[in-house]
Amino acid sequence: MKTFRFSGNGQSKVFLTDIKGVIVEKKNTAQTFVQAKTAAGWSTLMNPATTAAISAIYLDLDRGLEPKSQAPEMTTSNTGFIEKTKDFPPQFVGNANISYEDYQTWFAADTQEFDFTLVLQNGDLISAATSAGLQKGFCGRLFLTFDIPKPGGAEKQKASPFDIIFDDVEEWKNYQIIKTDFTRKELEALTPAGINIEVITAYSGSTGVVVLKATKRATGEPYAGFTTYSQWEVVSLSTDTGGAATAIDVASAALGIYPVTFLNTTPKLTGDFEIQAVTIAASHVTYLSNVLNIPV
Amino acid sequence: MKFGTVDINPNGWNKWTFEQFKEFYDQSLKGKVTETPEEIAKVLGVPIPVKKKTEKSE
Repeated sequence: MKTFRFSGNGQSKVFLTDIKGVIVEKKNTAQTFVQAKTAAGWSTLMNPATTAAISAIYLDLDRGLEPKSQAPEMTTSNTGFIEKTKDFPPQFVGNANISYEDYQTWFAADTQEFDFTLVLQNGDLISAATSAGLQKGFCGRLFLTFDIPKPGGAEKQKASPFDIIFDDVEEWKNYQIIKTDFTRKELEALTPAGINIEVITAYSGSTGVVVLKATKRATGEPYAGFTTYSQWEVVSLSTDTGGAATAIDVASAALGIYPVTFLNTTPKLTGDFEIQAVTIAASHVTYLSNVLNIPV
Repeated sequence: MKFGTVDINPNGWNKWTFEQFKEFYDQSLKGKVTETPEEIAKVLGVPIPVKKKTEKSE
C-alpha cells in the first residue's frame, strides 16, 4: 500500500515503550484520530451517559504481557531458494491487573471478537486505521482461561490471563502510533468502578420482587448508590416480551440491600432475565455492576 | 417518584386496573408507604373505579 522510499534515520535510537494496557472495544468502533488523542474522546466510548452507549473498556496489563506471535514463515524450496512465504498477525497473553471478580465478569466474552487498541507505558496508543482515515482497534479474538487458583509465586500473578489473537496482518502493516495527551492512569480513571450484585431472596412469582445486594467488587463493602428503579436495567429476557424495574424499596440501601420489583408492564415475569445496575453522575457512567441472571 | 422508602417508576400505570394496582400495593408497598392505594394510584394515573350512585342508602 505504501510507497517505499529511503527516509533517513533519526539521531535517537529509542525503543518503543512496552505495552501496559489494552482498550477492548466493540467491533468496528471508530473515532477520529483527533478524538483518540484526548481523554475526552475515549470518555465518550468508555463512560458515556448511558450503558447502551458504552463501547470500550480499559484493561490494565501491569501484571505482564507475553508475546506469542509466530515468526514469519520462511520456506526453502527444493532448489535451495529461501524466502518469506507468509506473515502472521501478532498474538499475546496479557495478564490483567484486576481482581478475580473482575475476571469473572469477562467469562461471557470468551471466544468473542473485539477490536483492541494497545496502550503503551507512556499513554500513547498503537492503533489501526480505517480506509476512511478513522482510528480503530485491531480486529481480534479474546480467549479466557478457566482454571483453579494458582498456588503462589509468579504464576499467581498470571491469574487473569487474556489471550488476544489478532486476525488480520494487513491492519498491522499500517499500524499507527498515536501520541496522546493523557496517561494510562487517566484511562483507568475513566473506567466505571465495578460493583457486584447478587440475589439475596429469589424472584417472587406472586409479587415480582427480588431482593438484591450490591457490594463494591472484591471488597464486599456495601454499595448504597442504586436507589432509583431506573438504575436497575433489564439486559435480556428469556420468555417475556417486556420487562423493567417498576419499584424499589431503599429502606436498607445503606446495607447495599434493595428489594426491586421487576414486571412485564403489569404481569410478573415468567422466565429468567438478566439485569445490570448502573450509577450515572454528571452524564457519565461512574459505577457499573456485573450482569446478573435472575432465575424465575 | 418517591413514596415512603419506595421509588416507583411513574410510567405505564394508566394501563393498570385499580384491582391490579391494589394487589401490587398489598404485596409491595404496604407498610412501606403512608399513602393509601387510592392516593398513590391517583398520582401515578391508575384509573380508580368510581362508585355508582344508583343506590342511595337511607
